[in-house]
Order: sequence, then C-alpha cells, then structure tokens
Amino acid sequence: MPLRNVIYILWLVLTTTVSVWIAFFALNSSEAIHVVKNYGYWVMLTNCGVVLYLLRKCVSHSTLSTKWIRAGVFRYKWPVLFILAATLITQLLQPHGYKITMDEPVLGATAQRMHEYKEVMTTARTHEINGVYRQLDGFVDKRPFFYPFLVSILHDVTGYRASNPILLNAGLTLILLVLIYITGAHFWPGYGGYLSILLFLTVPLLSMSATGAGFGILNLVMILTVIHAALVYLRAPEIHSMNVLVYLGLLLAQTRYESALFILPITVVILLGWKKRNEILLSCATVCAPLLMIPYGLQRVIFDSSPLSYELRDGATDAFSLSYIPSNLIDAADYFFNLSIQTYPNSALLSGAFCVGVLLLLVSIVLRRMRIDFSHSDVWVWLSFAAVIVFNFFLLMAYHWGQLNDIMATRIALPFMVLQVLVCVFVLRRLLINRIAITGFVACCIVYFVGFTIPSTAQNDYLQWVPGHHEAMWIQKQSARLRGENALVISKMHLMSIVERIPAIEESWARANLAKVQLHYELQTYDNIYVMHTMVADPNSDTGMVPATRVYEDYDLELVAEEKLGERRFIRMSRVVGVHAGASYDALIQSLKRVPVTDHEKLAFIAETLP
Amino acid sequence: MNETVKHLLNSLPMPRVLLALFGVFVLIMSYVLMPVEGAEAFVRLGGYWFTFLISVGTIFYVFLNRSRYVDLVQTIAPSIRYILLSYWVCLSCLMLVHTSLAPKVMMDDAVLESTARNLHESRAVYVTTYGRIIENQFNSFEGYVDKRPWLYPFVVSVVHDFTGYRVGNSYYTNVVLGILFLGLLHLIGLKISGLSGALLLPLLWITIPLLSQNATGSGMDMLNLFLIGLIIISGIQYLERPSLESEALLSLSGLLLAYARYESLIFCGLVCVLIPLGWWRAGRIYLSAASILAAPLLIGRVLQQKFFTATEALWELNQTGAEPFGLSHFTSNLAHAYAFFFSLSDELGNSYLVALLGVVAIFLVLLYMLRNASSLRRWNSVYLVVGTVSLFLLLHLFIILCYHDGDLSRLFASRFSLPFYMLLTLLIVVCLKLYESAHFCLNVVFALTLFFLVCVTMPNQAKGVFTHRNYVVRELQWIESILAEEASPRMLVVDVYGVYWALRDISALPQSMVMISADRIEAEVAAGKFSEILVIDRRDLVFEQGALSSAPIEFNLASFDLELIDQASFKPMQLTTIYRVSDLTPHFSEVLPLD
Repeated sequence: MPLRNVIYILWLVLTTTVSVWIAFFALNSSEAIHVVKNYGYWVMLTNCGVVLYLLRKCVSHSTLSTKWIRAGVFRYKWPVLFILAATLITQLLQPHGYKITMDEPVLGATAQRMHEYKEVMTTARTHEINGVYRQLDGFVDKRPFFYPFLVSILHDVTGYRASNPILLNAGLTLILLVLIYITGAHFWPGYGGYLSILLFLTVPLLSMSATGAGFGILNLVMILTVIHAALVYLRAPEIHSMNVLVYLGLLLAQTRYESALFILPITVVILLGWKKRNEILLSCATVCAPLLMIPYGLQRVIFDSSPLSYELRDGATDAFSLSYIPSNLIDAADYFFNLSIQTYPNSALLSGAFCVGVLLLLVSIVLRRMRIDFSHSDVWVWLSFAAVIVFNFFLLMAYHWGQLNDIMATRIALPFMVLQVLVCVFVLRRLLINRIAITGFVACCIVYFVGFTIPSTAQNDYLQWVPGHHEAMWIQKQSARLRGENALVISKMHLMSIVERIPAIEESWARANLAKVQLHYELQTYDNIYVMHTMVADPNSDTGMVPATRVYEDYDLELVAEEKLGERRFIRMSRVVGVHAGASYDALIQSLKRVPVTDHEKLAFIAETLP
Repeated sequence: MNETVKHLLNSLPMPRVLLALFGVFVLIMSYVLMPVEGAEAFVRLGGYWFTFLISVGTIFYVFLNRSRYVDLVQTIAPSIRYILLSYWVCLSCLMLVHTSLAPKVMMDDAVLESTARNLHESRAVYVTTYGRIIENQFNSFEGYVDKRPWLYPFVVSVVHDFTGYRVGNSYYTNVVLGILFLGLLHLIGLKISGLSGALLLPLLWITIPLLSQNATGSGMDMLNLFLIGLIIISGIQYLERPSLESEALLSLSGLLLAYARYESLIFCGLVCVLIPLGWWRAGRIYLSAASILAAPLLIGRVLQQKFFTATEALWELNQTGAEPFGLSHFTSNLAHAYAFFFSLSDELGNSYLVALLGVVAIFLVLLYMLRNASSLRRWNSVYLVVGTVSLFLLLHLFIILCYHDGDLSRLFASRFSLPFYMLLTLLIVVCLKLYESAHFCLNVVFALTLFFLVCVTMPNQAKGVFTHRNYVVRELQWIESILAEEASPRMLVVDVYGVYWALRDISALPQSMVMISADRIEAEVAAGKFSEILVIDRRDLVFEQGALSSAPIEFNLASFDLELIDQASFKPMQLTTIYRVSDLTPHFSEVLPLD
C-alpha cells in the first residue's frame, strides 16, 4: 500500500474519531446549541460548496455543453413533456400551503433565521424595533437543516416570501419526477420511466407533499440522487465520483432524521468500489468529510437532552419499541390497502401491485425462473439502498408515532412508496413480457388515477381531522393581512405569524411578561396588538363559549374577526384595548432605574423592555 | 515632445478657440455680475433649458458614436454575450429583490420629486411647499428654488411628460438607471480586463447594499453614479479613438454630471484633463461644438451654486456660525468614514469586502506603478482614464470629508460614499489585471465576493436596517393612509412636511404658521376653501412619578377644538397624533347669502 494511502487512512480514522467525539461526547447540550446555532450554517454551506465544486469538476470532464443539452432535450422530448405534465398535475391536485403544522412552520422559521442571520435556529420571538423586523429568541430545532438551508438560499436570491418553501418543493418535484423517470427507465428502458411516474402519481401523498412546505420531497430527491451517484461510482470507481457520492451522502444524512442511515450503504458501495479497483481511493476531501457531520451529531445531543423532543403521546413510555410493531403494521395495512377515496392519501393499486410483485419475485427466485446476478455492481447498490429503506420502514413501525393511517406520520413512508414503485416496474419488466398484460396494467393505473386519485384529491386535503391545522391556517391568513401594519400578534401558534414575517410572541410567554406587554401597549410601540385565541364550549353551560386560555383575564379585547373551527369551537382575532398586568406593571415601572433621554437610549430602552 | 506641441499649435482652430474662450468669459461674468436674487430667478425660469439642451446633445452624440459601442459589444463572442446578458438580468434582480420602491432619504427625495413635478408642469426649477386646490386644480402658492442640482428632477420630469405625472415615476427612473449602471459596469469591466472584469466589476457592486437602496429610492445618487460610469466609458472610447464626436460626448457627459450632484461639478475638471490628453494622442485639437458650448451651458449650475453659497439657511448647518466646508471637519469625518467602510454590522449599507480588497488594490496598484514607472507613459487609454478618474474620485471623497455633513456613518450621509466605491471597485479589477499572472487570485476574489454576497450582503439586505430605520418614511406613509380613510378632499393639514403633502395635492402648513394666521384660516374654512383642518402632532413620552405621560399639545388656540383621530409611535418614545379641528364647518350662507 502506498505511503500516501496509509497517511490518508490514518487521517480518516483521526477525523472520524474526532468527529464522533465532538459530535456525541465532548459537548453538553448548551454548548452543542451554541455550536449548531452559530456554525451549522457554515458547515452546510461548505458541504454544498464542495458538492458544487466536485460536480463542476465531473461535468468539465464530460462532454456537457449547451449543444449537447439542446440535442438531449430534443431527443427526449416525449419524456420531457410527460414529466412536465406530471409535475403540473402534482401541483394542481392539492391546494398549496403549509400542511403539517407541527413541522413546516418550524422549518419555515428556521429558514427565515438562516436567511437573515445565518444561524441554525428556529425563531420563537420577533419584534419590530424602530421599524426593523428583528428575530430575537428561539431554539435549536431537532430537525436536520438541509431543507431550511435551501429555502434560505431561495430567500437570499428572490427575497423573503412565506411561500418560498412551497415554491422550492414545486421545483424539487420536477427534479424528483426526472429522477423517478431515469430510475424507471434504468429498470425497463422505454416504458419503465413513464410507468414509474404513472404509478407514483396514483399516490395522493405525492401531490400533498409536493404542494406543502415539508422536507419529504427533498428527502426522496436526495435518496435517488445518491443512488445514481453510487451507480456511477461503482461502474467505474474513481476519486471524483467517490467524493461526489460521499458529499451527496452527507447532505442526504442531513435531510431527514432517519436518512443518516444511508451512510451505511454508501460505505458499502465505496468499499465495493475499492475492491473492484483493487486499491484504496482516498483524498483530502474524503478524509475531511466526517467533520461535516458534527452538527448532525450535536443536534442529536440537543435532541436527547430534551424530554419533550420525541413528543411522546399519552401512554407511551418509550419512543422506540418492538411492542409497537404489531399495531403499527395493522395501521399500515389499513393505510396501504384502504379503498375509500375519502380517508387516506394512499394508492391501494400501488400497494396491491407491490405485494403481488414481491410474491412473484420470491416465487420466481425460488423456482429459479429468475436469477439475480450478484457479480453486477448495480445489484449491490440497489440491494443495499433498498435494505435501508425497508429498515427505515420497520424503524417507523417500531416508533411510538408510527401509525401510517395518522396523516402526521403517513409522509414518513414516502421512500418506501418509491421503493414500491421501483419494485413494481422491475417485476413487470422481468415477468410480464406479455404485451397485453402490460397494456392492461397501464390501463389499470390510468383508471385508478382517474377513478380514485383525482376524486380523492378533489374531495380532500387529508388534513381536516388534524388538530390545530385549521387554526394554524387561519392564523397565517390573518397574519398575512397584517403585513405593512405595525402590529404584534400573540397566539399559541405564533410561528405561523413569524413565517409571514409579522412580529409575534407565544401566548404563554406574553402572560409571563404581561407587565412588559402593558408597558409597550402604553408606549404604543405597536399600532395594534392582536390576540388570536380559540373559544371552546363552556363546561358549565349548554350554549356558552369560553376562551380556551386565560386571555380574558390578561387583556381587554375587542373582536376583529372570528371563524368556526368545529362544533362549539371558534377561533378569534381580537385587538387588545387594555392590559391587566396589575402590580407587576407598577413594579416594572418602579424598577426602571434610568429614564432614557437621548434617541439612542430610548431605542435601547425599547429593545430591552420588549416582551 | 516639442514637435508634438508645435504640431498641436499648428492645428489650432482659432475661431473655435476664440468662441470657447468667449464662452468661458460669459460664464465667469454671469457668475460675477449676476445678483443673488437674479441668479435664483434665472435658475428657476431658465434652468430647465440648460439640462434640456445638454440632454438632447448627449442623445445626439450617443447616436453618432453608436457604432463604437456596437463594436465593443461585438468583441464578445455570441455565446458569451448570452451568458453576460443572463448575468446582467440576474444581478439586476439581486439588486432589486430585497428592497421595496419607497423614499429612502425623506426630505431629499420629496424635494427632488417636487422639483420634478414643477419642471413637468411649468418648466420651473422650483419646490412647492404650499399649494391649494382651485377649480379642481392643485396650484402652487409658496415655494423656493432648491439648492440641489436638477438633472435628476429633469429626467423624472421627462418621464412624467411621456407617461403622465405619478409620484412613482421617480422610483421607476432609478430602477432603470440602476439596471443601466450595471450594464455600464459590464462594459467598463470588459474594457479593463475582458470577460473576467465584465463579470467581477458588477458583482462587486452587488455586494454594496447602498446600490440597491439608491436604485429603489428617489434620490439623485443613482443618476450621479450612472453618469460617472458613462464618463468613464466615453473617456475610454475618446482616448482610444479621439474624434469630434467622441470628444463632444465626453464634454456633454461631464456637463450632465455637473448638473447631477453638488460636488460632481469637479468632474468637469476630469473632462478638462481627458480632452487635451486625447488631442495629444491624436496630434490635433478638435474642440467640438459641445466643448465650445460647455462653459455657457454651465451657467445655470454655477448660478445655482452662487445663491446656494450665499443662502446660509440652505446649508442645513447643525449650529449657527458653523463652517459648511473646512479642513476642521476632515479628521472626524475620516474616522467616521473608516467606521463606515469597515463596518461589519447590519446597521450600514456598506461592503466590508470591497473596502478591504479596494485598500489592498490601491497599495498594489501604487506598488506596480512605482516598479514600472518607466513604462507608465505607454499606458493604454483604459488605464489612463481609470487613473485620472481615480484621482478625481479621491478628490471627491476629500470634499465630502471636508463637508460639515460628511459623516458617512450617518444613515443619511452614507450614500455620499458611492463614488468612492467606484474607485475601489475599479482598482480591484485593474489590480487583478495588472498582476495577470495571479489567476489564482482572480478565482479567490470571485469566490470571496460570492461568499460575501450570500453570507453578508443578502442577510443585511433582507433585514434592511439601513432602510427601515428611517422612521419618517413610515410615519408619513401611515399619516397618508389615515388621511385617505378619514379626511375629506381639500383639507388643510397642519404639518411640517409641506413639500411631501404638496406632492400629493394636499395643502399643508406648519403649526406655527397656522397659529399666527388662525383667524384667516378659520375664515377660509368658513368660506369653503378648505373642507377641514387636520393637525399632525408629535410628542415625546416621558416617565414622570412612575407613570408615562406626554407634554400637552401646544396647538391649543381658543379657536380650535381638537378631536383625536388616531395615534401611533414611529420613533422610540414619541407619539404621532392626528387630530381633526372639530369646531370648524364651512358657513357658506355667511359668505354667499342664498338670496
């Protein structure tokens, strides 16, 4: 082994050890928060910069030119048109907006912070100080931040807009469908690409995610991109393609929580490449790569330090347990094979075809009617990545919140659905060589899409029973109307106002700082302070309504807008016309040691005393 | 050398020289002999035509010189041309996406808009401070001739002429100028160091948030910057191939610049240096019609300078007796300039990167010049122009720093730094060209610029502290929205921002004036000249004996009862309140009995 490689291996061991030590053992939770908040963005920027640099190097080695691109587009005009039409369909089937209000506003607020401050942090308190919108306190979120990073870049180049995450997902959907087409065509040149897209289109969840502001679509894009990078590398292993694979893998690992597991198949593929070349391929870029995973590890430290991170539901004691699997599998079967068009964003056709396909595949292998050629490098790539997708599916089944028939958890199974699509196409290519059978299957897909998918998506946004969804949407809508007005919003879902770039604080925070709210009410720092709160049925009366929280004790309110959320459940937006901080307000006034005189002092005073 | 001088003297076109000298004589005499009042009246009534003539001349000579610019563009390969065009579009979008079209420096912008309106409506260089609607037409009653050179208002007035009067035209003008300025930077960069320069020079400018701020405002700095760019490119074209046409274009660019900003008059000196250099290179004296007429065409500008210098009130001195210009300001302003150029906070619209690279570039360029002193004479036209322009840009900074209001770290004065950024960015590109062997440096500068753009400029632009801190803009926009909802047409607004309101066809007088003329105003309301009176009042909030209070309003004459309409705070601990004078109603029967 050349001395250079020995040094590289030692270096790799060192950087890996250092990374693991820093990421999991060296820092406590508060130190980890500091590091992730202040340096996470730069690590991500470096990672993306290296990927772009490596891709540019790879492209400059190839014959890529505008002429080539033009010729390619002309040659593949039908696939291009089909993909564009499919993307358009995904965008038309569902309304655009924030879908999963537990995740997407958090990602949006993190992106806003990364855009304006280059800090990995979810802003939880914003104010307008001297006319300038300022993001103040927040928390380092448990969610990996590659998606917010991309959204923040979009904000950087197009200006801030709450809808940018949705716009990004629309763009990513196009890329995803291109990748799905290429992958399908890989299994079945000619028809596979079209069939994969058609099959995937029958899943309303695709359209739902494509029109939302979550990181599900990016995750799929990254999985397929990494798979193709692995295929390219393993066909002709060389250092540039390996580095591209490594750095794309790092980005994939920081896209969703469980996507970090894809590091394992990437490692396997790299080792197979070395074996194929009979030499160890390493470079400076490769050995430095583990360092870029430090923020991911630190996020886990922060995550584990908070008892609320796993959001354990009533009765659950462990986040992961084998005991959850049976019931979660029943729920998964309920989701996958549901034939009602009103219940879940599922495709029974895809699930059914997948099951039949797997069965046929197993039977064919057992009866030796089909042979898997393990000497072919592609097989290892597909098997290793499929294994992680299946493992992730069972990990989800072992999770306390892994009920796929719960819309909050459904989207986690998207990679498994992509696997279902690809397995179906693979089996069809290998076994259904009969043209009539293929035509019949395509006809089934079209009929299912027209008969089930479209009516289902037309009737549903699948979120009608999600607690808090309508409340969040209403708050976002009202907040958007406040743009241009110097207003502060107090609500339990204040992140919905923050993503609209409206000054907002959380209701409980406002209660804890009621004296400051009163001070700024008196100072008229804001033209208006609005409280957005829900009204629920009064337990002591048959018809009466009471606020769900103590807002009437804290404020005098004047109703501005109201909407019914459900049976004896309303949401209200009220203007504050009085604050009852009581003795705490007097104490605050008395505690003001120095009365501000100059403009600078006055500004500092305002900034310091804002709730 | 002597032979060249002899040859030049032999080619001297005597009639043209005599005419030019006569023009200079007329300029000097008009400055010396014209009384201050006369100068003001002359500028008011004749000012428009000076800028009109110069502009028409410029357009004419741009047309005559068009083949040179077409040739310049055609030196770029067609495929690269498309890339550059896309790049230009992208940079223009980046310049505009983070800032909204709104006034940035409240009083300057309003005064310029008002001048533009008067130029459009009556061809008078005039600012309306008070006007009234008569016969459904807003008429100007009071105003003054402003100290600000009027080229920008003139350009806006032309836009008004062709599209109709709209306050927004000032912003659209600057947006277009900003985009054209980026285009000029491409050309200048291309001339200095080919494609790399064409890509780098505008990119460096995009890292300066002040550019975006001015391209989306209604101030005169964007036009000034554009004309500095124009003078550079026309200077290069002239020195490369001196001719009557190119000399004329250079002269006219200098004249336009003189009418663009106060201190830009110094760039006439730049033209006076470049033109003889061209003669020297061509071995003959051209003296185009534009050059001959240049001095008389400056009469309007120098007369404006005369009454500006003579009127202390126009200097906006912070304290009476203070010196408007002087070396005494230089030291403190230099410290502020340093703080501005090298600030890393989000409070100012500066570019740390350009300042840092620019200072390094200045040293490296000087070092290069010292090491290659013998070959300086053989410098090409581009370096000659850049070198001369740099000296004048340095002089420009010196003048700014000697000005009593030249504290660049002040929100309202930061924009004065824009011409100096031209010096810094030009020298960065020149430096990279001079040290041609260091391709690595070029890549590093590109990478650094992109990095700085994404990581510093964009977040700072997104926060927009340097724009939103201007509370007057927000306050006036708020008052305007309240007036639109609450007030009836033909109201009288009692406020200090008369120019701003006159632009919107609203009569406004300050509180002191209304209190003095209370009886008359009451009678005018009674006669129906004003439908109602609205009072804008600004009060500081103070803590007194553990409670918040504000001083009582002084506008409390017995004649007027005030009814609160709305109040809000825009400046920390200050309340802006809008009142309606409630005991006044028009008494038409008393003035015009029905019988």
